[in-house]
Amino acid sequence: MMNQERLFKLAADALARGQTDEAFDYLTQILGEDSDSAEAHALLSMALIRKKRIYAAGIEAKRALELEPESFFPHIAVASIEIATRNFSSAEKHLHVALSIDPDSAFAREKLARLYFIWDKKKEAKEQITIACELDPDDLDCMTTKSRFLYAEGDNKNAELIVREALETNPEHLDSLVLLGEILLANGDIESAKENAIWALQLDPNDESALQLLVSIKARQSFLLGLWWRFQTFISSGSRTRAIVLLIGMFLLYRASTIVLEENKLSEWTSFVSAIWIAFCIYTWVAPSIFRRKLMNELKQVELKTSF
Amino acid sequence: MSSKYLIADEPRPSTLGQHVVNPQWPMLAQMLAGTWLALPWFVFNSFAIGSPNRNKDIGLAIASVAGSIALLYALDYLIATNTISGIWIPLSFLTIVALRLYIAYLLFFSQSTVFELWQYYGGVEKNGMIFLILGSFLGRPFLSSQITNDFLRLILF
Repeated sequence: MMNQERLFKLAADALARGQTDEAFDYLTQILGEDSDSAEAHALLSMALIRKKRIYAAGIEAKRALELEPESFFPHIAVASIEIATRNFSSAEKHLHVALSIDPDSAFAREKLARLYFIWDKKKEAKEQITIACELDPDDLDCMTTKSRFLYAEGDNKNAELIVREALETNPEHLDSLVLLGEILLANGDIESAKENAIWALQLDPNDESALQLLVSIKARQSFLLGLWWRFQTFISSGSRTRAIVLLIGMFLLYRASTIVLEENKLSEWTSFVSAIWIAFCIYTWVAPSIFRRKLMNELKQVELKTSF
Repeated sequence: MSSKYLIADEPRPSTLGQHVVNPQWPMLAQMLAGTWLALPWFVFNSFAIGSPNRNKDIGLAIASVAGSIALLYALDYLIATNTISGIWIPLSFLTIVALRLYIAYLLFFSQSTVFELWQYYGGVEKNGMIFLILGSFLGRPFLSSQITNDFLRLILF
């Protein structure tokens, strides 16, 4: 049992640092020994959400709630799933249940604040993050979320002050690193923003927000790659069905235009449209691998820097 | 006694592991070689990778074929009754292309997630490019020359 508690603590710490793969290892070890640990299922669910493995996260959260419906963590886990699947009312309900179990939890308040923020209930979001920061003024997640709200309002100066304060406490806090990078980029300090993005990727090479930050930096630095990533963001920002419909829509538009042009005996235009389509296909094929290679090179260079 | 805890979406152990390819290859096979190669390849890959979605993948492959047949009958009826004519005939056949691509994308996304996990757990993929080239530049022309039934050709390619 002692071992399990130790592993759980290690998993929670790893997750807080943004090192999700490490957290997986500890949690699957716990569940390999005791598959009825509700806390481990709940934490695993939250780790899976970070990796966008929503289906598996849902199963873990459900299992946690079945095992301990009166516990704090399973409700947080289910709420996280509901947020990820945009069932905001249900998420709110579960977060309120969690807060009725532990009313002084800054963690649950911070989650509730983030829920209200993405739900576009900015006033409620501000109220909740203020309470969360009062409950635990040293909590890095609360500080980062508060900073993010300020940044979203355009108050970059205060947002930067708070996030730097969070990083002074823990220079490896992933969300703070990324947020500071975003603020620096918005202020035009591209080099410092890039350092932050790479540092964050050193901690978790798959972190989506850190990758997104690096993409935004790349988009500023290289026109062609920037064009690709803007296109990529446009395609992937939304549901998978939307992405499929957009991709097939483009192909059908190309095919329909060539049929219409051929039917109207405009064969030279057909060749022109086909050439553009092929160039587009090659570009979308080649651009991501160039970007990935550049990214890997940059990550390797940073590995050698002792200052990190 | 502890055992390895398996998360619901993780690949199950499979004896066909050495034949796993990146699902981009069957996806490209749908575009370049045709349904005859892409769908069996997707289904085989699903088993080889030990995908927990393999029943869903089989269902999607069947839906692709059944949907194409249904659309072909519907279009045949619409053409025979002169409901569609002229340029609308080739344009209407794009619905079959759209359906096939849609299902191929669903299969691709379904397998991509499992494939990434499979790689994460040390799986080494086989290069699918040679198989794709053989299927597109040898398999497709050969099959095309052997099959004279237009209906069957529309289903297979």
